[in-house]
Amino acid sequence: MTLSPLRRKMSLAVLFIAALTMNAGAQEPKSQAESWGLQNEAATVVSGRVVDMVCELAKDCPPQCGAGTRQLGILTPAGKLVLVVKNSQPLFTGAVPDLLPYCQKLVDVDGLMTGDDNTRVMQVQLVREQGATAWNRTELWTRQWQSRNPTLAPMAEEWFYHDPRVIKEIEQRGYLGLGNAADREFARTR
Amino acid sequence: MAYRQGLKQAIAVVFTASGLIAHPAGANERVQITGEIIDTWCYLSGVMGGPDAVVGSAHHTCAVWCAAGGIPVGLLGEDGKLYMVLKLEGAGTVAGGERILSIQSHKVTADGQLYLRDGLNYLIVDKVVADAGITVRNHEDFGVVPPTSLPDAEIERLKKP
Repeated sequence: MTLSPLRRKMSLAVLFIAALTMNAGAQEPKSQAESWGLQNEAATVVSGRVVDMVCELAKDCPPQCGAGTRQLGILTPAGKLVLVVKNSQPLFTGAVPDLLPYCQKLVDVDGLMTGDDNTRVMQVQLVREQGATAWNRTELWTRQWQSRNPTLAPMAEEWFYHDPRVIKEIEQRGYLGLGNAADREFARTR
Repeated sequence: MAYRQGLKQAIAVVFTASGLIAHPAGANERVQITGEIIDTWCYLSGVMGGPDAVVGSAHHTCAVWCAAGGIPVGLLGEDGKLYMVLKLEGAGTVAGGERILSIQSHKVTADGQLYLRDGLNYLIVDKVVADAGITVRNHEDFGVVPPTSLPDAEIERLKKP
């Protein structure tokens, strides 16, 4: 079968428009994520399944996505694996407590992609199970810390100054990690 | 023939643009990587400054905070690549484990499995085979990052004989 150059161009144009239409149909809802001024920041909604990263990569799959011990990500229907590194709290906190209740469930997550050209990771600010209308803000980390440290609960907003594991580490190796003598020498210069 | 070739190209455009072609699952490879254990959030997001300021002794306490907070740690290899550490000597890397806090900012050699997936390098560390401690002593250049990681009251305490 032969087609005139004009009909051939028209056929290609129709297919290209079809591609754009299919892609537009797969587009995620508009992001509501707040800017944090991050490197190469891109507000993004990602839809997919919450997965244990080790299970997804190495087929080493304990129950309940590792029950809080494993890093979690989102596996999209297209097979893209998005590593979630951070929740919405400006408190040095990850997002595992917020995603774990959705282990293996389909969710929408809204947040910021960041990183360099090669390594892109996600801060998730909002999460919801697919089909739900209401979003949940990702701020469960400090609540879990309060549960683990009930006597320290009022200090949750500054947990990092009061966390027993952190205190032990600094007592052993110092703020600079070089020992207490290095800390004292550094303090004298301040 | 030319029309068929053009049609194939157009179909490829359709599937690529619509995201219907899945990325292949990552294959693993046994590796030994030497580099610094770092906090990936501060390093990748730039939230605390440039990459030279968020490694080493200057950023040590913040790196401990982020590891304790369950943020993934990474191994910044001597090859310049960042490897996301998903397991360390049999344990997951989300909080809890004191081992992961004890090697923050250290130069280590890690033996384990490397997985490449969607542009990221993931490392399952079977064993830390060498630990040189903190070798990047950049606190004299940057102070501590962030400054609040060494509170004023602690500076005053440390100044006392």
